[in-house]
Amino acid sequence: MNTPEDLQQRAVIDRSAKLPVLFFFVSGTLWLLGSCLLGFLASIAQHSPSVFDCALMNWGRLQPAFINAMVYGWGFQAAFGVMIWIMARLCRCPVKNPATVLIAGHAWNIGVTLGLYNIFSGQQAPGEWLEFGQISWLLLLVSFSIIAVWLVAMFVSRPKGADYVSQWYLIGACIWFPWTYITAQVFTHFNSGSGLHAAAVGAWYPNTLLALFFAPVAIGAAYYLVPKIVGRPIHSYQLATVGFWSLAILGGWTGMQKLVGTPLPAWMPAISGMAQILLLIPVICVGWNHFMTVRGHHGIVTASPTLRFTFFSAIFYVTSHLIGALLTLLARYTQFTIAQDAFQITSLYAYFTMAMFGAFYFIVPRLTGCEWLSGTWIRRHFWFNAYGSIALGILLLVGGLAQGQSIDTWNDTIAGAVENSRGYLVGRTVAWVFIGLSNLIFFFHLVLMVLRLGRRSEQATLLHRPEHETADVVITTEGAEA
Amino acid sequence: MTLKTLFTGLTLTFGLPWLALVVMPYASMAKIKPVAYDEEKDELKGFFPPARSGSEARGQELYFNLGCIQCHTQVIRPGYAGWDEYKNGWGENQKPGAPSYTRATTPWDYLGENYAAIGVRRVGPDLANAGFRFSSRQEVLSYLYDPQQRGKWNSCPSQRQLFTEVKGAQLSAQAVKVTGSRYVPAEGVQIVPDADANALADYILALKKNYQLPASLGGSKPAAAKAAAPAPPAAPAK
Repeated sequence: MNTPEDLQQRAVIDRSAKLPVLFFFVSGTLWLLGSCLLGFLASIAQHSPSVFDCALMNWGRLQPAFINAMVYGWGFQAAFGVMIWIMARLCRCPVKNPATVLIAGHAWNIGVTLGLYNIFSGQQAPGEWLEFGQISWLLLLVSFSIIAVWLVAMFVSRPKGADYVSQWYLIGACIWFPWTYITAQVFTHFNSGSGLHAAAVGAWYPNTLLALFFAPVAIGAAYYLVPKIVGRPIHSYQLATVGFWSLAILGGWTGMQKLVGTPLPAWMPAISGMAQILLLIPVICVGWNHFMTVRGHHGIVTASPTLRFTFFSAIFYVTSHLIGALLTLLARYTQFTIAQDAFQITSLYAYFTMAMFGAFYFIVPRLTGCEWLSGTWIRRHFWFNAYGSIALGILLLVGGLAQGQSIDTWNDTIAGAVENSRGYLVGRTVAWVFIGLSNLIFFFHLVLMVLRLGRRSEQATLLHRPEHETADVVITTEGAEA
Repeated sequence: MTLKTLFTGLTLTFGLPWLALVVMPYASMAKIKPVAYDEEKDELKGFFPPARSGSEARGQELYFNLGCIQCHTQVIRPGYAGWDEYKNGWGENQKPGAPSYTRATTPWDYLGENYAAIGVRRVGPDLANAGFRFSSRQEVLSYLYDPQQRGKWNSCPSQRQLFTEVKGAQLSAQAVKVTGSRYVPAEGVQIVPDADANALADYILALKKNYQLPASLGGSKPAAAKAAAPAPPAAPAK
């Protein structure tokens, strides 16, 4: 597995992927910092609107700016970097013509910037996560297509036998996203036949994006990283297959449960709610598979930065979907409340973002040829993010229930709902401060690595000496080649 | 797994929900058209729902553009989903403490909207019948200028950018009166709403999604206060 030819091939792949992958990592992390700041400001604007005294800083603009910066600025770019590198490694194929990918990356950034300009200048479009204007969505679509073509081409030209679970998920994400995105844009913005149908598609889009783009990328990364670091193959290939196809079957049905009680045909929210609960099947398949792969080696989870983040994200993959199922079952008290944001933020942050951090900690040293400077910084980054995102989830969920309880009381005025949820929203502001600060540490750490100012060492940076003497040997030699 | 198996599988698995949940319902929902009132049964003329004016349509555009839709819903859910039908102040009856019934929203209530303003959160109150909440355009404009006039708890942001401050001794007919606002205009300065502020106010005043349902849709004319029923419009909605 580690013959000189293999090592040389990996070096060639890493060299070809270096520029685009690091570009996506750095610009994605910059957007992450921006979206943490926007999330912090948006949270303040929601509980104390009089703090900011201008139209730009209305919650109605800050909230979509925050979530769109996080989804398209951070989420997608982090995903692009991870997808390109993992696909290249798994297909044993260098990234051809990385300059084109780089151009697509710049176009993507321009698209996101123009979209945020639209939101801040008071031209946002209706529909959650669809608030960007017309020019941006074309730019995003074209640049995504270029990157997707590169990834599919690598998969098509892979040598015989280079087949692995991660590739299915990544190819799935490449196909599902443009399909979903075009559908959502066409039906929400070029639809004059039925505004009600447009709103239904608007509710379908964010959940489908979470289930069929963000989840596959994070699962694909975890299926690659976990066995590699632990040094043994995944627990069950069959379970992985079941998990993949059940996600493919169920992922496109969710979202409309948020519109239960609206005058849509009643079967549409009903079937979406059912699919949201059944999504627990693929989720548990994946979670169980990771758990069993790591079983008996849990010392490595605390020692390896990558595995620690990935493991946290796997726990929250299950947790966020339990929250999703709970919101569906308790729709009477959670519909139209901030509890819905609890599902979005635990999926997007506690689950997807943490998985991406895990992948960053693994990939960046291999591209820059130096090791992360400080285990302490990584530990800080982990704990601040872990506590921050858990706090976000709990505050929004409980705050949403308090808000929903007031809304569902017939003689309570809206002042009751506002007062009920205000304390939780103040808590959310504090959580964003912690998350933002820890991501600032991470950004500096990443920039130092990109500038090749990391540690020159044969040994990977670990969070502490693992209990098993064999463990760090496994970590530094990259374990089993999938 | 071969590329062919993977592509076929992905297309079939996603294609089914895409067709069944997204594409096909469009055909049936686009068929919904305004319904004519029956003069005998409904004792009303014209169409349900009434057509919207250009200013209202522009107002809804602003409602999306400025992010109002991030905090407000416009839907009265039937009993299985919540107490909206009996919620105080969410229907025509604005007297606090007096329980009254508001009919649940129907697909017809969103006709003429390019994107139904159902909304995503109730950070603010539901606006399906917001038109009944204000007695005059002046009151809506004053609210848009500074929502905190209604109380410190109010988390609705000000839309002061839609107003212009004009100096002049003569009080303009359009000038907005604000009382108890944080933003007190200087002596001799009036706050005049722009065209956009007026459009948004038109839209909010027109939000009355409780028009009498035609008998053909299962509605019945209100037993009392028939005179209070909205005047039937002359032309059908789009």
